[in-house]
Amino acid sequence: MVKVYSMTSCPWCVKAKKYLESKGVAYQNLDIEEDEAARVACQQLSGDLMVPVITANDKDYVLGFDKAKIDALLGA
Amino acid sequence: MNVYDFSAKNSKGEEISLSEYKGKVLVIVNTASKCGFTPQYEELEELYKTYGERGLVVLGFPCNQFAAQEPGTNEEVQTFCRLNYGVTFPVFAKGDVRGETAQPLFKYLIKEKGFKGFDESHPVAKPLMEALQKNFPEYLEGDSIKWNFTKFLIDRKGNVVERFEPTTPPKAMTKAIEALL
Amino acid sequence: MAKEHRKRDVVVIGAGMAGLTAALYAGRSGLSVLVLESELVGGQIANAAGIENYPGILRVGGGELISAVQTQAESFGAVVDEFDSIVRVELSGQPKMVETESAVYEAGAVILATGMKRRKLSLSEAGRYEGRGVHYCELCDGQAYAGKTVAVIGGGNAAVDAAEYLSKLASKLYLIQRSELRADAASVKRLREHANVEFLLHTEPRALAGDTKLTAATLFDRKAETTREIPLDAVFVNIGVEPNTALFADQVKLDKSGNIAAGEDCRTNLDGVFAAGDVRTKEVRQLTTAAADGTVAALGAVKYLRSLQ
Repeated sequence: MVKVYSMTSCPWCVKAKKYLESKGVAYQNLDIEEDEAARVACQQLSGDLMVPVITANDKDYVLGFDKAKIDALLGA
Repeated sequence: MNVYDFSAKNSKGEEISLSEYKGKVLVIVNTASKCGFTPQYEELEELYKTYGERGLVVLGFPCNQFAAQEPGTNEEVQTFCRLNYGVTFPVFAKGDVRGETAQPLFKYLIKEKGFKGFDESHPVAKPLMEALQKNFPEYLEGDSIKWNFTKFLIDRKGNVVERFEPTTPPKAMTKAIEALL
Repeated sequence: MAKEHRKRDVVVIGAGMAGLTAALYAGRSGLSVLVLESELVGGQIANAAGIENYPGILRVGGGELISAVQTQAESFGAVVDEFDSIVRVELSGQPKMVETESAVYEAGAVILATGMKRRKLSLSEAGRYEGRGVHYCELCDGQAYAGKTVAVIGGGNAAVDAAEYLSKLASKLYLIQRSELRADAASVKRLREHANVEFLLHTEPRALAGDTKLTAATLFDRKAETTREIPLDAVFVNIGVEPNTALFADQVKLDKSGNIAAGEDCRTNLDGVFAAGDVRTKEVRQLTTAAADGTVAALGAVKYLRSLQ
């Protein structure tokens, strides 16, 4: 399952999620502002609290809205 | 009347009465997730961790009223946003803290403890003052909240004891907090 | 595989206030309209917290205002695509071609509303440290470097103002500028009064270093032609804004500052190609003037398309 760490106030997160939707990719949205467990998990994965962070395997991730990298992550 | 007469929505949208914190020493602070004072989150978290067992609770009230209005911020050139904190103290729902639309709790707090000026020894005092004079001169009038991270210290009976401006770092409040614990 | 060809009356490039207003007007005139955006819908105001100078609205968030304009444009049939990136445009002749990653659009008229962007540091490793030592907003991130060593890169008024702000926080501040300072004498004089400020003119950063966070930068002195490394906790980049014209700079006439040369009628040197908003030569760059340009450009396009029939 694809996970998206995000914040509601972050327009790049909104764009990243819309992009996944446009490609028909189901994802789990994890709000690091509201959800403490998500915050901890995001920090552990990426070493920081910057979003969007997209991951498919809880190991490799893409930080920020980078279409090419997101495509590569989903394709892998 | 004291702070226990007020309530506020938590991040899940549930109404929480401040009377739930009866008997605790409280630090009530308006916060922002993106602004020059965000390192204060870390210090507030430290205070909460250090004094939590002795009865201190920090209550954060996020507010976007003071966001820098100038264009050309980070997010314009980056494709990500940063959450500037990882705190464990209670954080309430976003709401206004100044002006007509301010939450009743904050209208009460500023009535109890007015504005007495910034701590001028703080390195940000001067630039903050200048920025306010230039961009938001009306913010400087009266007792209103001037900027993010204005802190109110509440004793165990719910009385507002002291107000600390954004220019006072949370660590500098240690003495005042210990006196109440 | 050959890309599918699709016909549109108007293709608008850029979904900021100018582009979306153009889409609204063109859509309302009954034209088929596609708006292409590669970054954020809303452009520079997508993140603005409080807009208080848009007539008729006392106060509104940038995102809120722009999504209302988008909805309005879409209600008149305009389509906004924020994921398909443009590969190439061919603007002279008729029809005009806009090739994206997934299709080739044949457009009767094209409206260029690509706006401006802040110039980024042109070092390949800069991206790696973004938010971790490479910053673009001193008000947002400056406080994190209280008592640290920081540099401001740039020599205009904005750079000197940023340096002035940061000099009060940082223990040591370098102002790094590749040529002479362009800022007002008064601002420079004020900055010189701070004892912890050091001016490094005719100097440019050549490399950034650090494990996960920035710790040092390599600087090149262009006069002495020497290179040295200095420890640095952060650089704040303030090297100005530039119009987004890379896509069509070889086809559309630009003015000296790099904006599209077009007058109040928003017409460029090419028939059927219009410029709207901040990317156009103009004095005042505001939301209101962007909306005005969008209107003029769209109605110009309507007139142009009629003249073809």
